Amino acid sequence: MSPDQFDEFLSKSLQNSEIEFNHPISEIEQLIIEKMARNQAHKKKRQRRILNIAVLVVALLAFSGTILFPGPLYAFKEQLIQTIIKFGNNININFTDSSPRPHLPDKLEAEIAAIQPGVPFEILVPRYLPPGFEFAGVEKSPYDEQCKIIMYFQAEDAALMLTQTEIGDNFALSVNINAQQGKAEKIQVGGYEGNIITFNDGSVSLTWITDGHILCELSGNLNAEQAIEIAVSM
Amino acid sequence: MPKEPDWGENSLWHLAIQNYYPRILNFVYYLTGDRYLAEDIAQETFARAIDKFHQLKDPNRMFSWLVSIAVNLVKTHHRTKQRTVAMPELAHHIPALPQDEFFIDMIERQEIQKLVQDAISQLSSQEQKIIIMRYYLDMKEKDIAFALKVTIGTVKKQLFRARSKLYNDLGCLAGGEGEEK
Repeated sequence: MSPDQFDEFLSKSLQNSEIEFNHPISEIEQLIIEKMARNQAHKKKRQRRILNIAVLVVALLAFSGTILFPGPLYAFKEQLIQTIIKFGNNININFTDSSPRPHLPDKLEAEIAAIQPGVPFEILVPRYLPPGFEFAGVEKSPYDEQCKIIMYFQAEDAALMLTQTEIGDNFALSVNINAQQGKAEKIQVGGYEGNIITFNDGSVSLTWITDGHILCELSGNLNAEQAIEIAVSM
Repeated sequence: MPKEPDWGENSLWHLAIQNYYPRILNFVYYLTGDRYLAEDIAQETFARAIDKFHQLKDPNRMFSWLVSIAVNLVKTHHRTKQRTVAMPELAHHIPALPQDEFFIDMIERQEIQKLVQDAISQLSSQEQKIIIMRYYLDMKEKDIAFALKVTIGTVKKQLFRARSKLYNDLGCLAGGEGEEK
C-alpha cells in the first residue's frame, strides 16, 4: 500500500468512528454562555481568595516585623506619623497623634514605673530616637526644689539628656546665649513654642513647655532636625 | 461579566460553532474517550476562546487556535484527574444496525476501526494529538505546530515516527506489507 493510501485509510477510519452530533447550535451557544458566566464567577472568587491571602500575608509580616524588629519598625512608623503631621500642618489641618504609647524597653518601663508615683505629672517618653541611641537611665533629681526628671540616652560616641521639670504659672521661657558660641531660634514643637540653640561644636539644646507647666529640655550630640523630631514624638 | 458576543445568524461565533464545534468535540473525544467530558471540554474551549478572542493575532488561524485551547484543557484535565488517555469505545457509537445484507460488512468495518483506535492509543500522548490533528482534523503541519506550540520540524519528526508505528501495526489491514520503508 502506498503512503497516500495508508493516509487515506487512517483518515477514513477516524472519520467513520466520529460521534454523532445533532444538537441545535442555539443549545450549544446557551451552554457556552452559561460556562462563560460560571468561569467569570470562578475568576472573581479566585481573585477574592488571592486578595484575602495577600492581606493575611501582609498582616503576618507586620506582626512578625513588630515582634522581630520593633526598633526600626517603630522608628519607621514614627517617621511616617511625623510626615503626615507635618503634611497636615502644611495644609492647615490640625490634629493630634492619638496613637497608643509604644511598648517601651523593659528597663525604661520598669524605671519609669518605679518613680512615676512620686512625680506630680505624667513622665513623657520620646517615641523616636535617632539611630544608634539607646535608653541609658532615668532618675528623679534630688537637688532641685521642683520635681525634675532626667533621662539619659546613649549612642556609641554621643549622648542625650532629656529633663522634665514642673514649673509655676509665671515661668517665662527665655534664652541668653553668647553669639559666638552658637545661634538660637524660636520654633514650634507639636503646637508649643520652643527655643533651639545650635552650638558651634555641633550639639543642640532644645527647650519647650508642654501643657503650660512642664519645662522640657533636650540637649546632646545631634542635629536640630533630630532634636525636634524627638520632641514632637513625646 | 464579559461582554456577551453577538449570536446572530451570520455572527462570527455562530458560524465558528457551526463549523468547528463538531470537529473540536470529536478531537477531544478521541483524546479522552469520554463523550460527556468531550462535550464539556469543547464548550469550555469556545467559552475561553470568546473570552480571550483579543489574544488571537491571526484570524486565519482561528481553528488551530481553538485546537490549541482544547489541547491545553485536555492536558489540564489529565493533570488534575490523572486519567489515562483511552481511545473511545466504538461499540457505544455504532448506529442501529443496517439492513441484513450490510451486516457482515459493518462488523468488519467496526473491527478495523477498533484496531485503528487501539493502535493509536498505543502512541504517546503527543503523537496521538498529532495523528488526530493530521488525519481527522486534516490540519497542515504548520497549523499543528501552531496549535501545539512546537516547531514544524518537531511535528514532522513526530508525525513520521507515529505514522511509521501505525503503519507497522495496521499496514497489513489496509492491504500493505505492514513495514514502512
